[in-house]
Amino acid sequence: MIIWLAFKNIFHKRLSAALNIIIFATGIGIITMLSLVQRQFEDKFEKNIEGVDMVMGASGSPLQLILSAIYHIDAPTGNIPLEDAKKWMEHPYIAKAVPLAYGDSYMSFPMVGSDSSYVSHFGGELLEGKMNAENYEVVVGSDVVNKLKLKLGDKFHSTHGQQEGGEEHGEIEWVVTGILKPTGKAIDRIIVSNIESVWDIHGEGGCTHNHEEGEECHHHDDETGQEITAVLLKYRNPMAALQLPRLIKEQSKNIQLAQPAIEVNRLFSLLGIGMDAIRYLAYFIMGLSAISIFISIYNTLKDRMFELAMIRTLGGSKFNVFSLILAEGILYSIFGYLAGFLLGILGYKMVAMLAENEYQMSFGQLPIDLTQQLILFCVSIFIGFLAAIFPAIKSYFIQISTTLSYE
Amino acid sequence: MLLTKDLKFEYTPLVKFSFPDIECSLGDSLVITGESGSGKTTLLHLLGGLIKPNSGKVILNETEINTLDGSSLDKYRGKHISIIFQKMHFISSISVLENILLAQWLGTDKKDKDSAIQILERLQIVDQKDKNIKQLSQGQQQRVAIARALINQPSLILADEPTSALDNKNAEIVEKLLRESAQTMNAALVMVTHDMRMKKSAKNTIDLL
Repeated sequence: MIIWLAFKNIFHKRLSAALNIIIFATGIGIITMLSLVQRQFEDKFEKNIEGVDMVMGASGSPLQLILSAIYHIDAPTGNIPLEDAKKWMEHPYIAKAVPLAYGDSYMSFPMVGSDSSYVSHFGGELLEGKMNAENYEVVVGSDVVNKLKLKLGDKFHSTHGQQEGGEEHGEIEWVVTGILKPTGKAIDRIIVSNIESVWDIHGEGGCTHNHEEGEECHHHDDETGQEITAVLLKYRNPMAALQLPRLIKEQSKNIQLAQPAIEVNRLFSLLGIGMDAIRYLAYFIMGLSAISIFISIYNTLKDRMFELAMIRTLGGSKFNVFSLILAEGILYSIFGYLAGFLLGILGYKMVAMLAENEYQMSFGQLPIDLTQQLILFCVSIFIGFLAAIFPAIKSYFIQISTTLSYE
Repeated sequence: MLLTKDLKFEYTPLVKFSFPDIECSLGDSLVITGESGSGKTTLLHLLGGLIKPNSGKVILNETEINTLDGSSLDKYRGKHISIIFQKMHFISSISVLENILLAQWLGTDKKDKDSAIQILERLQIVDQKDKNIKQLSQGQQQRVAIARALINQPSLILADEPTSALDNKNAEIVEKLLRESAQTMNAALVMVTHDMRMKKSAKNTIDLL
């Protein structure tokens, strides 16, 4: 009954209730959305670097190398001669080496030339069809299939570069021979062929297309002229992590090494600064909302002194009026929390939609952090409590007689 | 039966009252008159247990009200005593009927919608039950206040200037309503007023000096 009355009381003044709840919900919503987005990003990024200790590629920004070689959301840094790369790929320190030749795309989905270890490394399994065996055969990730409605046997022309509307390789048709099951990793939005096709399309025994430097393709007839874009490396033992980078640096000057774990951490810490700034803003908004709830309860308290005294005369105890006022504060925060939670999910969905359109990055299900939400809920209740406790104490000590005598 | 004995109350050493003893049986009514500042309202609040006397006793049906404390006093008041104030106070966020139900719940821990509607019917305001108090006229509000005072079938009804804001006709109706209700509910009715109209029709009166 007390809670029912508290409910009636706060919604009696609809606008001020709405304002309080909106402010509160904004704070909660921002925090919820941020952590959803952050978790999703970290999850996406970390899942993809499992089993990749080092990425070898052309000199340039190490972060760009990682973003392009593993996630395919950035342009390649350039190419390296296959011969140079081979030396290290076959080194005894290396347990696994996945060579990549990329830079082209189809409808802005990246195309990657590699060997059969690529798909298996990222846990890709065939949903239907068969793995690509011949030149110009491709297997496609699940997001590509969903977006472009590709079927087995479909043919298409690829495009230079990663943006739609680039120059088309008009003369060559690719054929879909296999479709992969969803993995939740970058490979879901990748079109995989063999390396030879990539070499072939850019000129016989030539080089992969290089957008960064725009240099002319060198035509070589022998294998020694072939180039690849990057290699994903897995070390055989911890010793390799110590020795190999030094060796490569000394012996292959034009090869750059980038450590995915380090680069991804760097990216997170860069993003983290922005996220933290927004998060502090959200805390500030929560603080504001505590003040706004306090003010609206305190303001109405003055007008409602008679009502509270009347409740006392009708048999309500001091504790009854105390809990009535406290319940109003806590109800505000509960409604604020619920609205904020929904707002956060809504915001997250919008970010997910943006990410999908911009990067073909599909976000999986909601990575809701229950512990965090529980903490957020408790903090909400506490804020409501804090906002209402002083008015509640004040109403606890109402003098019925004097309140009702002086009007 | 309502009894008081040697009631004394002081706000400050200079402003203090001592009241004549009062006796009013259940079903009867008593009118207390006096000028402003004569302590009428103070006496009413003493009878209703809203304040404690410095000395003396207030006894209602063998319960010495002035010895009760805290929430047991609140509970006792809610169940056995109803007070109608000069200015009516309702909870503005809920409807007429809900105000009656709230009084019922606060006094008895129970809600009985049927009896709440019955009492509104008896006071001829049942058609206003879903309205907000503020939408009602002064006279209608007065009736709601009476309905709320009667809902828990109290042993004592206290009314502070119940008619002062009303015209002759309505004052008469309200006074009659209160008397009749007290009689049928077998409650003692004590009204304080400076309204001479009431004094005329009262059998038992006490003048405060």
